[in-house]
Amino acid sequence: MRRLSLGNLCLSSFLFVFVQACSPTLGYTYRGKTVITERLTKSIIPQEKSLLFKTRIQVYNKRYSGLILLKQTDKTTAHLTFVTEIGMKMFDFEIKDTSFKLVYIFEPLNKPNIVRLLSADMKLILLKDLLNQEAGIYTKRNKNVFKTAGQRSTYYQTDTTLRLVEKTWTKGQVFTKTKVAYLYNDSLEAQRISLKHSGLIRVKIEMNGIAGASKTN
Amino acid sequence: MPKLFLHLFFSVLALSLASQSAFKTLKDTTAFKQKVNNMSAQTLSLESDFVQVKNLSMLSEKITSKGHFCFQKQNNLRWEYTEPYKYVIVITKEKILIKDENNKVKKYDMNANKVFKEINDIMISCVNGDILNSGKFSISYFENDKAYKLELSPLNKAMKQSLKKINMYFDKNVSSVSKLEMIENGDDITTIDFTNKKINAPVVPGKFMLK
Repeated sequence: MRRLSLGNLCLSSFLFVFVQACSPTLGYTYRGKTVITERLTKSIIPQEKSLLFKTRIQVYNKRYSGLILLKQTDKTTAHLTFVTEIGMKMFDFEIKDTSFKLVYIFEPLNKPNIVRLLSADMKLILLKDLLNQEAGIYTKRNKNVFKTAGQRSTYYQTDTTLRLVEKTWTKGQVFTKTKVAYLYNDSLEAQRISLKHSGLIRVKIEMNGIAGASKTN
Repeated sequence: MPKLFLHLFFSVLALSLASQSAFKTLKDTTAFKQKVNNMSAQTLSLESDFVQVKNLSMLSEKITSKGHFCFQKQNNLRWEYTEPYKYVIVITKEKILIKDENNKVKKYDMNANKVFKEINDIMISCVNGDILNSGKFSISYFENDKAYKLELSPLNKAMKQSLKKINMYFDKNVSSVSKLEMIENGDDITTIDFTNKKINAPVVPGKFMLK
C-alpha cells in the first residue's frame, strides 16, 4: 500500500514537472494583465491589402484544397473566404470588431461539428480572441507571451520589435491541443500559417502565401 | 460645353456598342441544337489554354488563374492550373486524380463521392454539349452577332443551393464552348475563357494519368 502511494507520488510529481516544463511561459517573467492592442501585436489581416493563400484543410478524414483570401472590406469589417481551385466558394467568414460570423458555407460542409471546428480554428489563426482582449503578459528578452483566459488558456508568442505573432498554443486538460505557427515575408505579411489540432478531432490547416497575388485595396 | 458634347458622344458610342453585343432570344433553337449535336459528334479531342476569373462580389475582389485544358472522348478531362499556383485535376470515367503543389497524387472514387460525380458530369457535358440533353437544367437560348449564349438554371434542389446559373457561350460556327460563367447564389461569378483551341489534335499519351 505504502509502495503504491510512493509510486503514485512519483508519477504525480513527474507529471507535474513534465506539464510545467511544457508550459509556454517557462523562463518568462510575469508582468501583469493588460488589453492587447495593435500597439503590442499586429493583426494578421492587413488594412490596405488583400492576401491570397494556397490552402490545404484536413478535417477528420476529409481533405480540401483551394485558396484563402483575407481582405479588409471596410474600416471595421474583414473577410476570410475559402474557394476551391476550380472556383467554388466553400466558406466565408465575416470578421468585425466584436463578432466572427459564418456568412456562407457550401452545403455538404454545413455540419455543426465542422462549422464549430472551422470557426474556432479560423478565429485562432486570425488572433480574434487576442486583439482587444485582456491577457496576462510574460516577457523574456525580445519575446512576449500573452495568455488569454477563456474556456481553455491560449498562449501567443510575439516578437516585441516587429510586434508579430510567431506561435500560438491552446491548452487542453493536460497537453497542448492546438498549435499555430506563423512565418512572415520581407513586407511583414503572413507568408505561411500552419495549424495543427491534436486529440480526438484532428484538424490541419496549411496556408502558403501566393507570391505576387496580394493586392492593394 | 465641349465637356457636355464629349459626354453625349461617349454616351451614344457606349449605347451603340452595348446594342451590338446585347443578346436577344434565339428563335430557331432546333437549328442551334443540331449544330451542338454535330459539334459533339465531331469533337474527339479538345485542348486549349484558359483564364479563370473568380469574382467575389461581396469583397469586390477577383482571383485570376491560368492554365491548360484537355478533353478526350468519352470521359477524359484534364484541368491544369499553372498560374499563380500549380494544381492538376484529371477526371476519367471512374476516378478523379488531383496533384497539388506538393506533387502528391490523390485518388478519389467517382462513384463514392456525389459532389465529384456531379462536378464531373457538368464539366464533361459542358464540353461535349450533352448538357443540353441532361435534363438537369432549364435552358434559355440567346444570340447576338458574334455568339450564342445559353443560360442554364439548375432544376435539382441540391444544386440550386449553391449554383444559381451557368452561362455557356459558343462562337457562331459552334465549334466549341468559348466561355463559361458559373454564377453562385451570392452572385459570385467564375468565368472561364478558352483560348488557343485545338480541336481533334492528337493527345499526348498519358495525359490523363498522374504520377
